[in-house]
Amino acid sequence: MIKFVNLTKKYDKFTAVNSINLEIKKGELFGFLGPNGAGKTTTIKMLTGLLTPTSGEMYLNDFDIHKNQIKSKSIIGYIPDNPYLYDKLTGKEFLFFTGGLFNLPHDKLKTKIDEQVSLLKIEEWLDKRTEEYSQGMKQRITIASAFLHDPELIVIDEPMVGLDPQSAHIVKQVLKEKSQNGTTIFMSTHSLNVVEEICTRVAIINKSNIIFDNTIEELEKLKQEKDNNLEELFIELTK
Amino acid sequence: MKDLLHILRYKLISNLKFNFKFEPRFLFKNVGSFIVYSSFAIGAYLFSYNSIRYLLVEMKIGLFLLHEFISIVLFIFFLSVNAGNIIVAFSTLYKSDEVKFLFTKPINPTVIFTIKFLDNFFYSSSTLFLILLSVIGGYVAYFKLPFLAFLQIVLFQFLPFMLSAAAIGVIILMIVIKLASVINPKVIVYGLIFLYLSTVYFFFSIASPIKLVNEVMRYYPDVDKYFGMLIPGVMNYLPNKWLSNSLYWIISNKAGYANIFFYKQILLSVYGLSIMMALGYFWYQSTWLIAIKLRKQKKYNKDSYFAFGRKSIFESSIAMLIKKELHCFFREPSQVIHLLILLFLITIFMFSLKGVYLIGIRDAQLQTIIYLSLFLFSVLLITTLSLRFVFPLISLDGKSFWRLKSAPLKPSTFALVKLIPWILLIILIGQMLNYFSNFNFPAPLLNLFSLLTLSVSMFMILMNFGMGGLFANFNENNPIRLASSQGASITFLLSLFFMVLLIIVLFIPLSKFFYSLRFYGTYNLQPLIIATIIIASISIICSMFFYRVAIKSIEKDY
Repeated sequence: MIKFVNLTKKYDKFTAVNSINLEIKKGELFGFLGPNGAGKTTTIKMLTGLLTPTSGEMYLNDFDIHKNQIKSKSIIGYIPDNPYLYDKLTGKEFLFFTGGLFNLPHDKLKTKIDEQVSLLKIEEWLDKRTEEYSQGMKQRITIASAFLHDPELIVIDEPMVGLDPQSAHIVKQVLKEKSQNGTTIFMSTHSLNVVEEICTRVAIINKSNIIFDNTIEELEKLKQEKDNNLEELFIELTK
Repeated sequence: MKDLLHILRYKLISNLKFNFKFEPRFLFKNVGSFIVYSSFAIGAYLFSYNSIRYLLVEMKIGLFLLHEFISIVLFIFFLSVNAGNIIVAFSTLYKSDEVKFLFTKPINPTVIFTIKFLDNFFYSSSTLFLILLSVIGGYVAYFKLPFLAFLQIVLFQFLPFMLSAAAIGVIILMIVIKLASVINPKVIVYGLIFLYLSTVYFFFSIASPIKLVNEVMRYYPDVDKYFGMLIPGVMNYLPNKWLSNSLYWIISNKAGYANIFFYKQILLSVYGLSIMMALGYFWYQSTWLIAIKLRKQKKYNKDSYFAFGRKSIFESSIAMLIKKELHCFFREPSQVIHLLILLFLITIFMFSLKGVYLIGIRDAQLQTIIYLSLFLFSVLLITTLSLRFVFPLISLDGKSFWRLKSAPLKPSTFALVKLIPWILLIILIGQMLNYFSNFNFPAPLLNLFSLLTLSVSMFMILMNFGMGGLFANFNENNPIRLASSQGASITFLLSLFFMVLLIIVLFIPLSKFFYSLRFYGTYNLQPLIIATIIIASISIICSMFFYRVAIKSIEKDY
């Protein structure tokens, strides 16, 4: 489904992502871990077309993402770490706007919005301007907007930021279900618990390089060597 | 006071941070900015100096009329600073994240109010100050006044004059917000717009410049003396009149007469600032809370033609982009109010052009100068509209730009949806300006200038769009600040260069046209047609270039 070949991003002399290679299969729930400034968001931004790689290739369903931007973007649902919304629009208008950008037929869009609204419990706030929303509300609207066009790949940067436990539980369930139904999920997070709970595969990026890439079972084995403490393991790996 | 100085100190530190890098891009940008601002300053100085020289030496209007014209310009300037401050202050005092942050800290609201007022006044007026200082410099140099007089005029006339305009703006804003909690805010805003327009109308009805010129010219050549009796009494209560009067007495070597106007100006600003600070002390926090409440109370018409939930004749992505642009524009008061004010001023200008009929003027060169000046003023209006509304277009998506960048959209679709409404509006205005300035002239001239206006409008729109992309600032969502940023200043300078090019290309063919019309009653359009082709070709090539710049800017890393 996704393949990175020697993917690199440099800003002048600083290398944010250094020649990383990854392959993620369809239906995998992929957890992308790493300390702050390791290169997670840069990788995600390249995957979603917000940044252009300095070198290397990215493939989505065997086509080059950079050369087929429209095609790749139309099958990606992206949830950024800072869900900035158009503050003059209401939540409902933002959902219509996003669905429209993916050219969803009008009636289907209405149905999909209703589905997501009830799933993420956002009815009460829908007709208020997003400038009045809390961080969690913005996050929920962004998640709803990313699911509208039934994307084949969901890219999430820090999914649980600002969510209350109830919403976090719903999001985790939805991601698991979507993954089981064949949707690939690329999730960057700091939350080791979330990774343990829902991911099927994990990669750790540190100082721009991939330092671990394996299944969650392999990570569990390593964890047991460290007295069952994932946090200890993570700190040691990313030293 | 300690809090105020503490915050101001850190604001100053963050504003003065200057990380110098020996990189070609960095050097180019900073050297370029230095050249632009220096050119602005020199240009404003020369403009002021030469305009005064032209009016006094060539036109021989005399010192009194010169200062009456200055008074009229200052009146418009006062209202612009005042209205501009209402709009900008609403963003800085009531909507900024910094205010939200400061309100969570143990700081007196009056301190926050003072900081944001100063921020508002100095940040949004910095370019204006630069131009103003240069204009005053030109004035002082023409009349060979000492440097001390320059300082005196700046510190004790212009600064209080602008502070009064700004303070009155903030006072009006606070009263409006207070009233909006009991009266429909729309009624108050429309009432305020009506009040401003009526003020402009009554000012020009009472102080008709044409009437004044005719009356003063009856005393020609003795036109330097003071004709105070010709000025309606009510004008003596206005700060613009105090300023122009003080200038008049200074250059007439009667500085003693000027003192009273200095006192009045300073006193008004002290009164204005005191009332503003008192209102800030009593009302700032409560009006801040009212502003939040008003935003929460807003209701939207879900059945309107442009509602997001309605089907559209356009492809879904295009329809949603159009609706997003419309909703974001019309829900931002500063955008709507500014557009209405500009349209009103343009309408006044159009109707005043109706009476311009230059065929009868005997001097062909004067005809050319007046005709070209009117054309250039129309171009300046087109430039102003483009700079104010087209330049910020790309930046206005701000931090929400990720939504468009990560959507399956071609950059050209996104660019065209943003551009087309403005292309249509500005071209329509350009054509109306052309019609009103030309309908008394032979039809071929009207048609040629219609083509010229069209190509110039396209150039101005696309140059502002391209430069707006090149200098995109996604962290600033205030359109007024975007339109007065460093990038916008550079764009305006390019517009001025283009206007100089228009003069160079059009002056000789136009003089030939008016000369043959005046002396032979016929005309040869060929030189004008060639000039039009040259300008249209340059406009098209440059427009295409700037469109590419905009597309490249949209495509670059976000």
